[in-house]
Amino acid sequence: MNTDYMTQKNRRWSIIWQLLVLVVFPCMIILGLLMRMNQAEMVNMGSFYAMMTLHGLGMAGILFSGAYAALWYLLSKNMTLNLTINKVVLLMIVLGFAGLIVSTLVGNFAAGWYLLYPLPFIPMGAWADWATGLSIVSMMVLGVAWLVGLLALLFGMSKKYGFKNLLGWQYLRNPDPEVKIKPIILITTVCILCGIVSLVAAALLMIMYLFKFFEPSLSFDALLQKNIAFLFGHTLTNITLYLGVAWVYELMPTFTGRKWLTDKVVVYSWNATMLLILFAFYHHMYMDFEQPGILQKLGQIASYLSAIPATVVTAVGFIAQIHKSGLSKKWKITPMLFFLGVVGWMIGGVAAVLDSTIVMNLVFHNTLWVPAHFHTYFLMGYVPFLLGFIYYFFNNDSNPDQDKSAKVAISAIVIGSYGFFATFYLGGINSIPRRFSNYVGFSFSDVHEVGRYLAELSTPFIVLLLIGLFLLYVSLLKPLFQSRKQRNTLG
Amino acid sequence: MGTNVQLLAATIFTIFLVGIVAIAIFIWYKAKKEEDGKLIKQKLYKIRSGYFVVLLTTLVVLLGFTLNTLPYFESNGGKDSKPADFTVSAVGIQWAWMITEGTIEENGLEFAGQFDLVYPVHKLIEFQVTATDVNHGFGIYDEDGRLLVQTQAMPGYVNRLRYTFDKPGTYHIICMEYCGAAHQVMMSKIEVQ
Repeated sequence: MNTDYMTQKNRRWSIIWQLLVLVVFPCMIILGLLMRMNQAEMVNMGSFYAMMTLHGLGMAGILFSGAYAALWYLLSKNMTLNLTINKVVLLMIVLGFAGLIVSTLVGNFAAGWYLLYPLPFIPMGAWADWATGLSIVSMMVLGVAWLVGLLALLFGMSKKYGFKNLLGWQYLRNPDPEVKIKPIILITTVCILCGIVSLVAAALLMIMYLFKFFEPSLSFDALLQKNIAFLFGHTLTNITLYLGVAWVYELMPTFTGRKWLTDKVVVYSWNATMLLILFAFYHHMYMDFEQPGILQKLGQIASYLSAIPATVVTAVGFIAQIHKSGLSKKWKITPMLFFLGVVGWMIGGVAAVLDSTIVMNLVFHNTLWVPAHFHTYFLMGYVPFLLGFIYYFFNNDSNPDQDKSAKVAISAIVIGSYGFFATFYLGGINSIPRRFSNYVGFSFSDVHEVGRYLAELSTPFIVLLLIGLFLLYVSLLKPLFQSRKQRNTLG
Repeated sequence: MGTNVQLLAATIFTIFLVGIVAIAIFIWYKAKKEEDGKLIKQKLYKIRSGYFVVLLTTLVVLLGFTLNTLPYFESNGGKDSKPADFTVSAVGIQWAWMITEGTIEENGLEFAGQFDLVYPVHKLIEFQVTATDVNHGFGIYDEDGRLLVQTQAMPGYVNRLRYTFDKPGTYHIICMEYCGAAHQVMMSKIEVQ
């Protein structure tokens, strides 16, 4: 088949993928805004927890899907990937999302994004049984879609480089090996291998949930279920961020003109990261005192050590790209977003490492400190990576006027995001619990007032973030419509 | 009242935040200049080795220090194994706490809470925490609204949380794990004298 034709087709489908991400993402932010407004007592929604469930599942799902789609596009430029599989994965993701939207917003399903056993099966009248069933099936559809998508990427890379070379071990024997791989291949492989473990765990969990759904007398071990749920949930969100880092390695050199290649250190770093990703999830069980102590310690050790490859190799490598590169004389949007993303990742990472300390988690677990740190490295870490990719993808980095409006938009996003995070951090320090529809029940001290006030304070920042995002979309999508217009004129 | 962990974390976080932002501004500013990328890389990679050693050492020391003071029992990686002065059962159900004196083994899961219990100050109290339906979280707040300590309340497991109250007063039990529609009002309180 004609290569140009395939490239065009791949691109067209990638546009559909990215548009889906661009539409769903702000919708999920609006849910978050409504949640904060409810906590601020500006509105009173009976469906707070259903929204919370959709916000969590939707965000984790769409951001991971965006990462998959971005990698699919970048890899498809250098290897043959099956477009039909990509289309099927997209369709399944749309179906899975539709199912989750119906089960939460119509069926009021509100078991939280990690569906902690056995809450989905004990709704106490808050949601219908069918909503639980639909959520389980929707999660299965999403899980299968992601697994198939990741396996297709792995297959494509294996075909081109040979499976045994994908983790870069050939560099440990020879600094100049016969089969060379770019960091994007190594990092994607690391993420895919972790992703497979995560999604197999999810499949296991959902199959057990389905059994329980049809045979309510069945019961499972709650702690084991929790471990499996976080092996899935933590790992999936963790690799989402790292997949973003993969394309930062790939695209930064196109702006700086400096090489960023695989070497021994990069290989050690990402292979170590793979192990650390797989063991860090234990930090979600710190407050389960009956969890074996060795696993608790392993959770903290893995969480702490993950700071080494992240900062020593990736952050320093990034600095080597940008330092005295001339880039900030006239910033292009993509590298600027990548820069902001690395900064947000590091800031969120510090807060995460603090929370991963068992003795600190004792007073931070399930307080607003938790959403504070993961919102930081997602919204100001991964999301700028994703937006940077999308900006590159739509090929906007050539028009100075668009750059100008995009920079205004980015300023609004940055101010909005960090202002919003600040309310979460202050909430955590003030022991305000998370996942509370409101704080009216607190009759002592000023917990109610502080919780309510911080939620109220966050709302203008979230609105500013949404405005910034909208402005960025305008600047981002302009060339898409312009090129269509040009085509029509020419046609 | 022990270390104010929240304040400690906030301080450490602020120091790092300022440091990261300062480095970011410095790099942003310096990125206006242009120098040979290879030279930059060589210089940075020299610093990197030192940074790696410092970071690794710091993390190992911090791990050694923090993993030595775990809230768990000795049999489970912690240090605290001396007998408690006072044992209390706390069972979470959607959406209330049943709390009374004695162990879970003695009380079972079907007892009614005894809310007028008075807890002794300066005594080691062991809370045996579990749940009958879904997961809950057993968090103890002081009168100033500060979360002092917590553990999960999980069906099928008894988590033993030990705490010594240093000050008399009213302490509040707040559910710290999302447990359904009325999670936000699942609260109780205890008196310490």
